[in-house]
Amino acid sequence: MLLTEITEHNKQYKNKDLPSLNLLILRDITLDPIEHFYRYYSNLMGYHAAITWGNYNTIYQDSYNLSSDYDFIFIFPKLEMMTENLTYKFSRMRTEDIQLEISNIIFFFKGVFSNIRQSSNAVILWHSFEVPLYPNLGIFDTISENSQLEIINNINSLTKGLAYEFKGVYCVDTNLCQSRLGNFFYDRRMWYSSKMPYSLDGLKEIANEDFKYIRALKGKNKKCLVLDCDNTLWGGIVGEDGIEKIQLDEKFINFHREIINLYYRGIIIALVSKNNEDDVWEVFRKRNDMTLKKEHIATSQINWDDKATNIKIIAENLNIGLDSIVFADDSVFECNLVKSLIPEIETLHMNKPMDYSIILASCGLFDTVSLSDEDKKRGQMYKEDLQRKKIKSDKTNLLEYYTSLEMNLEISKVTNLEVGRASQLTQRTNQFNFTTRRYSEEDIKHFIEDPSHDIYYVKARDNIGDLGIVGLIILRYEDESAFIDSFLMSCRALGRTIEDAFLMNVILQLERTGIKRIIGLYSETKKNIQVKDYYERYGFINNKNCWVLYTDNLPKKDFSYFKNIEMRE
Amino acid sequence: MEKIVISIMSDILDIPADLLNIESTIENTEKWDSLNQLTIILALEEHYKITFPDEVLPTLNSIKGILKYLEQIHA
Repeated sequence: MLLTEITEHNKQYKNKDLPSLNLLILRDITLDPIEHFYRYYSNLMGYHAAITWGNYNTIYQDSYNLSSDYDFIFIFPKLEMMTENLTYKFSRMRTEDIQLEISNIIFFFKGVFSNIRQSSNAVILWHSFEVPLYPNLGIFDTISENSQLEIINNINSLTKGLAYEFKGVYCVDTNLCQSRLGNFFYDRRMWYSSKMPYSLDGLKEIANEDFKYIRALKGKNKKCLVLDCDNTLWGGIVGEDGIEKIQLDEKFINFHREIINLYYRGIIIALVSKNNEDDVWEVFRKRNDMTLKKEHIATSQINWDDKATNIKIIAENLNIGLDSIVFADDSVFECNLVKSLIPEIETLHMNKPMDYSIILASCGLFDTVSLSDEDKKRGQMYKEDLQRKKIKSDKTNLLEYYTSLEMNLEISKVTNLEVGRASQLTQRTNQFNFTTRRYSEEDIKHFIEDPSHDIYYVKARDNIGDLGIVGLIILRYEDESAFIDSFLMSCRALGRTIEDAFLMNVILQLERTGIKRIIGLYSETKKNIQVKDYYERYGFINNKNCWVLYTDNLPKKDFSYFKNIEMRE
Repeated sequence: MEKIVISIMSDILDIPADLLNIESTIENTEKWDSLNQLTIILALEEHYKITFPDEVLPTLNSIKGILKYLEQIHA
């Protein structure tokens, strides 16, 4: 998108009533035009960006006494501004001097991160140092040990190591942005006139990279890719050209490979196509050069209805929000139609087949800050879930249906092994989530170690497949009370009372340890209305802004239709 | 061209277009400062698919100056 289109868009959004996203930018350099992109991406995520700029080249000073309101703090250090030696005089440097420079820089970052952490829990997006396009030693840099490039990469890795020590610090790989654009990443006119190193394209690339993190950390990353078929998955129209004639050359194969990458990153793949359904599946069956296979497709709507209606059906079947979906089509008409009928959806217009795979790879809409084993199996699990729904509609009696699933639950305290998945559940669960508190892996580790907190997970398995860890309860103890800080369930596990059994087993466990009162909390969001009355229906007593259950008066509930519920101590 | 330049600038500076005219300069216009100037330059370059030579940059501190250069290359 052009900068003029971005600023026009921002003007239109100016008066919309949106929550604010508080951003602070600490920098060694000028890069002020980037704020238009930050505003744009914030708007698309449903926020207004409130941007505060630190002074020029005062990162350390500005990291003191911060307001605690910031959501994200961007740090843009520039190697040229920090050390003349490593940038301009590298060929003259002795090994000991290089080491000294490295430790000075790491000491500096350690100082900045700890200054920030004294007053703010904001996520820190630290931008790595770029390697020079032309190292001081020319080709000898590549030949020599301890080259300039190696040293700079080494500083980046050390800072990344430091980032792990502090909570919520992420490294944005500026070198990746640089290598996508090469020389065009920079604008020397602007560097010499205003100390702004980057070109307009460079700024766009950095802002795009930054918001991949913000989207992921705010739980706004997309969960499902809905694909058109004709001229998107293959060249030509299967209904007219026939199965043998449609094209599946390398451009399409690479697009398929990218889709399969997403499948293994836990993204649900679905098809929407105006076609005879048999024709489409025949392509999957008969064309050996179809890299994408039917097993990767969780669900499909192949018919002659309009695509917006079909996408809504897919969202309903998968039990996900329309704002979790990305729709990809080669037709501008279809993209616009879907976008106008479903404004919250994201569309990717597939223009030229040779660009398809790069469009998908570069969009960053599906990016996450963690990847668990569950993710790798998610596509399969959603497919199984749809089978369960089919059985459900066959069985009229609900109890009979639950029994037929042969459900097994394992409930246990989270250990270091499950930290990744537990944090991820807090990040991506929106609907069955009472407080929508997002926790990093460090936060989860803290709950495990802290005696005033407990954190339980539930793992589920049935006769159709393994669902993995699908729910989490985080408890905070105060005297004889236990507060349910978080209670959340993955949407694909809902609709078969696993949440009820999970909660009851945790409650019984609390009763055994002498807890008298259990207090449930609820903070309303746009997405979690479905749990608003849950505690009340469960038997909790409404008490001002929370719900209380006394362990000497527990509601009677029967979970005998579960095949087995194992409560691990 | 004057109209387009003013419209682009009003979006960037986030002020109504009628606050800008041919006499506007970086000195006499609210919100037009050296940092917004960077955005204005980048936006105009992208819009007109041009690159201002570095020696021209200092002359772009007024709408007159901007129009003079754009008219000259479009002439």
